[in-house]
Amino acid sequence: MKNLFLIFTLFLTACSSGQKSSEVAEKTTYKNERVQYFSNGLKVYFIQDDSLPKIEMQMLIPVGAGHEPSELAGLHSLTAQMLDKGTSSKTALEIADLFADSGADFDISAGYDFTMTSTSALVTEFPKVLDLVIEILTQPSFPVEEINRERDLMLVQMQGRKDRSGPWADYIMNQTFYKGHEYGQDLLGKAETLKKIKREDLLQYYKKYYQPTPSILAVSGRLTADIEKKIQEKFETWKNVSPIEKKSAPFMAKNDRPRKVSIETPHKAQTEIRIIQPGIPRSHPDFLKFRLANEILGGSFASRLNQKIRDDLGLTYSIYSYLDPRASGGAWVISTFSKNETAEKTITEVQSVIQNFAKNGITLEELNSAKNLAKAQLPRTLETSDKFAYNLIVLDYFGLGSRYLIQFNKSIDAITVQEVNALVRNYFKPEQLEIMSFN
Amino acid sequence: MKSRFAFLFVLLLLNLAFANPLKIELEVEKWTLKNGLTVLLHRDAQIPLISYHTWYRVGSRNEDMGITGSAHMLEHMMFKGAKKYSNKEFDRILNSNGMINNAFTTFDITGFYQSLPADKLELMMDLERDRMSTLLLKPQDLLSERDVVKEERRWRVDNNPQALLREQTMEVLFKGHPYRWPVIGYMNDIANYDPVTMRKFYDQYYGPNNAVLVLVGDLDIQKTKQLVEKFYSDLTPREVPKEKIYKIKPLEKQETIVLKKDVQVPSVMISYQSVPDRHPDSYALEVLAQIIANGTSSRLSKDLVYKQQIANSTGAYQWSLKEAGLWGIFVSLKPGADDKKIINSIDREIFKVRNQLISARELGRAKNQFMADFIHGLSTADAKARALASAEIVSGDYKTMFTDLEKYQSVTVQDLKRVAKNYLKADARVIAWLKPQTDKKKDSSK
Repeated sequence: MKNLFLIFTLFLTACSSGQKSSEVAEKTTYKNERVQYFSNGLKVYFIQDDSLPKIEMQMLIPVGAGHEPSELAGLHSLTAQMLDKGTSSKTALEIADLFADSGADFDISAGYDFTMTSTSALVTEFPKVLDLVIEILTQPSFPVEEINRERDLMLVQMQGRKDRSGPWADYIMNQTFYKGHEYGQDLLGKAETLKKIKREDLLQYYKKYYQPTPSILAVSGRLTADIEKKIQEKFETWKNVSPIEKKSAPFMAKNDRPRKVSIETPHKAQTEIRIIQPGIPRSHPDFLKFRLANEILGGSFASRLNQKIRDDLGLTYSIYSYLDPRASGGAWVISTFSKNETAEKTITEVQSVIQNFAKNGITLEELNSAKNLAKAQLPRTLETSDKFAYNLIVLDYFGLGSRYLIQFNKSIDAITVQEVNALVRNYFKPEQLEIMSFN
Repeated sequence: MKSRFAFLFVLLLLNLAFANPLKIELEVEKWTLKNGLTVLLHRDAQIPLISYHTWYRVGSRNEDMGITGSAHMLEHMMFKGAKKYSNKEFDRILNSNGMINNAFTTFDITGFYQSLPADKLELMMDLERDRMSTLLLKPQDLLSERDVVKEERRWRVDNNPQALLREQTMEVLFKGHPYRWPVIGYMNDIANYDPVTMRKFYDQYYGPNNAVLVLVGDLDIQKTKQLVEKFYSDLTPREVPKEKIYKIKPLEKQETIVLKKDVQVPSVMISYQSVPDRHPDSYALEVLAQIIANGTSSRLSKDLVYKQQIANSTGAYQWSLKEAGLWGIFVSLKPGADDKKIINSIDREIFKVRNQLISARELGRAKNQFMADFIHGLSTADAKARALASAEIVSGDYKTMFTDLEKYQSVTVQDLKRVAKNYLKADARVIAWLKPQTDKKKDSSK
């Protein structure tokens, strides 16, 4: 398989409250959605999609790593993982069995900017599954023996990080680049802080941050009026306690770090290479221009990096670049690997491609190609109702508003070579690249 | 031969007097060109894109020792230019026309796939036709791409202890059959591929009569049929070699592999020889895997992860290949977990399923999970194309993707006990351990 990870995510789409579905259909979403606010302030997107007999729910809870006290690092993730490990009336295993009986999936992931839950069920099973999700969300009991079990699993996860070279390199790169900011925190915490966390800490964190306002819910699939009514009734039992304060501080990359480091890794057959420099937050007005520039440099099989480093020189199997845009900052990253003997050569050749890119910019032909790809493949990122729902709520979180998606093609078309080249000059600084090799 | 199937599949899960709420309809146009190319079309106009899949009936099983990985290498070379569209032009043309693409190779199949705007269908057909008929296979391209594949092998296998362990397990499990070597091939073979071998492989297997073409998306069916005829009907069929018959040596004892690497978290894989794709027992074996070790509510997860707390996660699978299969359990272990305790616990569960009937609740749960996975697996045009191509190429009839579901639903608790007894034998299996290296010396032993 040709391996190149096309980073199409966070094309992110949005249609706001009151958006006429006909207008949406003419543009780029191909799905109809309605927005409603429940009595507890929960913002809800309903997305009708009758193509398959299933219903999905995704909810964004705006609690991120910045909310966690540093002396209790790991609390953010542990709270999320504990939600389905016991309620006032059910044990962890009873919950797992009930989801499994229905063939349903429930997942929760705690991220740097927000926490996301996702539920998927067949239409015939959905009412039962909805009851269970509401119970998990509103009545978690945080049993001590389950906390200990989950904590032990997190400690083993920490221990096993080095076992795979690629994820280990990504982890170290993230920790190094964002050091001193919440984005550089380890989401699993530290062994010493994780061991300090008590049931009361989890209860307090849950009560403070898991609230309907300003969370965002998206329900998609084969919906009926009865199902929507039941969803509203159930979710309205979830009560607010107090307003949530936003914690995230802007990320500013420091300039005093070494530009090239070598990090020892257990598996020696190949050198993993990561090259990173500051990027932009997701809501930055230059985002689409940056995306197109990245597409040309390292975002596809036809990109300059792939053509030179893989196709011409045979130095790697995979090289790609991507934007890592977050709420309070971001990064631009190149990820590749090569055998130990050619790792240095690979780094030198990559630097040469970037220097040329920064110095000479892009051509009109390259820009047109990147635009065509961006516009043509947008529908694919929104094809299923759950993908569409995910994008809706994440865009909403980033404050990009309803016009983003509707204007997507127009915004892309309006971007000129001069604008992208100005962005290239402004953001791509070969002398500021941090180069990390893992061998 | 032309025929038209309007397929309406009604799932039989619920006893409802009204329309079944889990009904799925897929209308598929299927026919075979005179040159043997099988074509499947399904219109799904939810988005203005088409998923374009070209799958060939060739994989590593068609190789010989000494040229292992040839099928995979040829997959790479298919992107290095043909007569009309030369090297580099392929990706550049795809991207500039809003298309993305990739490919894969397995033990039995090589597949190429693209996502394209509906108005680029003719261009895509021209590109695929070009490389199906006039691939260049230039020696200098082969040299450069050999280095790429060597890097792929280092990345996928040599620098990945779990993959290395899997490779060693297959060597023991499938003695006497090409399934024993890795799809990507051995490093020595990769370093020595030559244009003559590649050309022979291409000439034998990459013809229309050895391929299935599946298009799903925003299609005009009649117009697409005409285009398929226009672009593909004059291609010459190839003389596909008659498939060699291999006999897998049955395991006659328990074999143990211990791979010691610089890892923190140990693991164990237990593998049994089982049955090939579409074998009547394959469905019960899949259901059994689900019940034994997949998900938090599975038997082994409850015992090893939850109760004894000596494992981090568990999983099991029936892996059905064209001519053979394996049934396996994978357990990620807590550091320091006692080997004997782990094996005894697994054996206890195996003993139970071999000798006692599984509860109706566990069976019902597994069936619901299959149903949900099936439905989720048809969410996108690409997933539908993949499912159709897979069913067609494996069974010769895409409709088996629906009838297979009935077979899962009709598995009984007696079937589960029977297949457990027949295939999960303690004296005929491979136990493969990945363990932390205790000293600095490289220590990998069988």
